[in-house]
Amino acid sequence: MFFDKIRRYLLPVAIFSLLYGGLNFLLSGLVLPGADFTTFRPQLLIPVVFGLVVNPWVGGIIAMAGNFFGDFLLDYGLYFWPWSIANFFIGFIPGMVAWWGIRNIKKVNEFIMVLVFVFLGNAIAMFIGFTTHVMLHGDATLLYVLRTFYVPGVISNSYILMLLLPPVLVLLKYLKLNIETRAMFLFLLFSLGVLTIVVAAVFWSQFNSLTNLIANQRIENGYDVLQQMIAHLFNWIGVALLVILIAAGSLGYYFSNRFMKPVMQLAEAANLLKQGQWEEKSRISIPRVNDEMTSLIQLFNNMATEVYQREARMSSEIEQLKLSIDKKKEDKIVKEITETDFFRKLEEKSNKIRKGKNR
Amino acid sequence: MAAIVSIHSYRGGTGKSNLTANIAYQLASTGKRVAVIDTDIQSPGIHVIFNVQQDANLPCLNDYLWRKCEIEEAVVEVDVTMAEGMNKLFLIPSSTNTGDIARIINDGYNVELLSEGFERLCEKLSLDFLLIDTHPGLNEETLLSIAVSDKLLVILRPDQQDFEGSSITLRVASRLQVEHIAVVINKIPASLNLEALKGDVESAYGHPVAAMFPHSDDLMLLGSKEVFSKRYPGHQFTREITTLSNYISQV
Repeated sequence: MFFDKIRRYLLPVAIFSLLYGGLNFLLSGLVLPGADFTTFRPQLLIPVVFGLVVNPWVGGIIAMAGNFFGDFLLDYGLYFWPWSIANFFIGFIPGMVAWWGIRNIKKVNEFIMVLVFVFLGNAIAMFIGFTTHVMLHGDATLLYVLRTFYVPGVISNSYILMLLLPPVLVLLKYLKLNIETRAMFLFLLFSLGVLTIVVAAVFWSQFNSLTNLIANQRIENGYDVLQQMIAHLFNWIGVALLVILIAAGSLGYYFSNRFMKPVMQLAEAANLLKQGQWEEKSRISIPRVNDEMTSLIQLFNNMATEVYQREARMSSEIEQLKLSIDKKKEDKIVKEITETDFFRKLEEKSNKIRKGKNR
Repeated sequence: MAAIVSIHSYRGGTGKSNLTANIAYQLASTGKRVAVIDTDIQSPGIHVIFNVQQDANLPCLNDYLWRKCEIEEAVVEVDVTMAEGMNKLFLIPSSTNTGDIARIINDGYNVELLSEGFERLCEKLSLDFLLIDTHPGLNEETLLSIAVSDKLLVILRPDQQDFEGSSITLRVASRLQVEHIAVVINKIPASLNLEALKGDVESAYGHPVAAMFPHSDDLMLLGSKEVFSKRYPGHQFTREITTLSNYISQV
C-alpha cells in the first residue's frame, strides 16, 4: 500500500531525502547556545510540506530516509536509528489531515487543524525518539530528558514550522488566501515576529549575564543552570505559541463570521438573483452588529426585493400581452379605415396594379 | 422588374428606420440596385443613419410633391464605402426644414403623386428594390404605399399596443391584396422566449415572422448614428438583418 503511494514520487522522494539529510548535516551547528539538543531545523518544512501537499507516506519516507542520510554524513552511522523512525512521523502525521478531507486550506478551522497536526507530528515523533533513546542508551532518566530536551525541542520545531510553513503553503497554493485565512495568516506572522524579537532580547540578556557568572566561577554547576534557564524560556515560548494559535484562530473565526460569511451569502444571493431564482425567503438575515456590512446586506435585500417584484410585474404583463387582442375594437377601427371613399379607390387601384403585374 | 417594399409600424419608436437602412445596405451589398424613400414626411429620420447632410438648395421629396421638380431630381446617392460587388444605394429624403414640415401637414398634397413617383423611380433608376420608410399609423400616404407595394414588412415590439395596432395594419394590407406580408419583431426583452413568441405571433396573425431582434441598448445607441450592419458585420443583429434581406429577395 505504502509503495503504491510513493511509486509515482520516487524521484522527488530521492531528491528531497538527500536535501533533508544534507540540511541536517549543514545546519547541525544551528544549536541554541548552551542547549545541545535544541537545534533550529527549518529543513523540517520539507517532509511536512510533502506530507500535506502530496501524501503522508511521501512526507514520512522523506523524513526517515533523509535523517538516515544526515546521520551518515554526520558520521553517526546507525547509532541514532530510532530517531530516523521517529522522523517519519514528522512528515506523516501532518499529512493525515487529508483523511479528514483537508486537501487545501480555505477556512480557519482547516488552518488550525493543519497547525495542530504539525504540532502533534513533532510531539509524537520526538517523544518516540527520546523514549527509545533513553531505553536503548539509558544515559539519563526519562523525566529529566523530557523536561530538559523534549519540551524545548517540540516547541522550537513547532515555532519554526508555524513561522515558515504558512508562507510556503501560500506559494504552493495549498493555503488559499481569503478574508479569514488572510487575517489568520497575517496575525500569525506578526505575532511570531514579535515573539521572536522578545525571546531573542530576553535570551541574549539572560545568557550573557549567566555566562559571565559561570566564567567568573560564581555559580557551581553552571551548565545545569543554563539548561534549566533555557527549558524555562522554552516553556514560556510554548505558552506564547499556544496563545498566538488561539488568538489567530479566534481572529480567523471573527473575520469568517463577520465578513466572509456575509460576503458569501451576498454572492450566493446575487447569483440566485441573476438566475431569476431569488425569492423573498432568500433574503439574508441581518447580523446583530450594526456596521457597513449590515447596511450593505440591507441594501442588497431591498434591491433584490425590488428586482424580484419588478420582474414579477413584467412577466405578468407579458402574460397579458399574449392573451388580449380586442376583436370588437379592432373590427371597428378596420371598418372606419376601409369604408372611406379613399380606401375604395385604393382597393381598385391596387387591384389594377396586381392584375397589371400578373399579366 | 422592381419590387416595392413597404416597411411599416403602427406606432413610432419601433426602430423602423434603423431596420430599413440596414436592410437596404444588405440588399445593396449583394449587388442589388436599391433606393430608400422616406415617406415619413412629418418626422423624417433615415438620412441621419445614412449620414446624408441635407442641403436646403437641393430638391427633396417635398419639392416633388409640390411639383417643383421631378422625383429623380430628389435622389441622393448614399455615400457608403463600397464593398466589392456592392451596388449603389439611393435615398430620396424628406425635408427636415420645420417650415416645410408644417406646410405639408397643413396644406396636404396630392397623394396620387406618390405612387406615380414610385413607379417613375423604379424605372429611371432601374431598381431591383424600392424600400418605402412609411409614416407610423395608417394615414392616406401609408395606405397608398401599402396599396402599391409588392411586399410589406410590419415591424412591432412585443407590447400590447404594437400588438393590437399591427393586427389592424395586417388586416388592411390583406384587403389591399399585398402579395407578401411578413412580420418583424424588434426590441425583444431578453427574458422572452423567442420561439414561443414567434409561434404566438404567427398563430395570432396568420402571417410569417421573418426576423426577430432582441433588445439591446448599446445597439440602439450605435444603430441610430450609422448603418450598424456595415460597421459590425459579424454581430448577431447583422446576421438577422441578412436573414431578413434574403427573405425579401427570395419571396
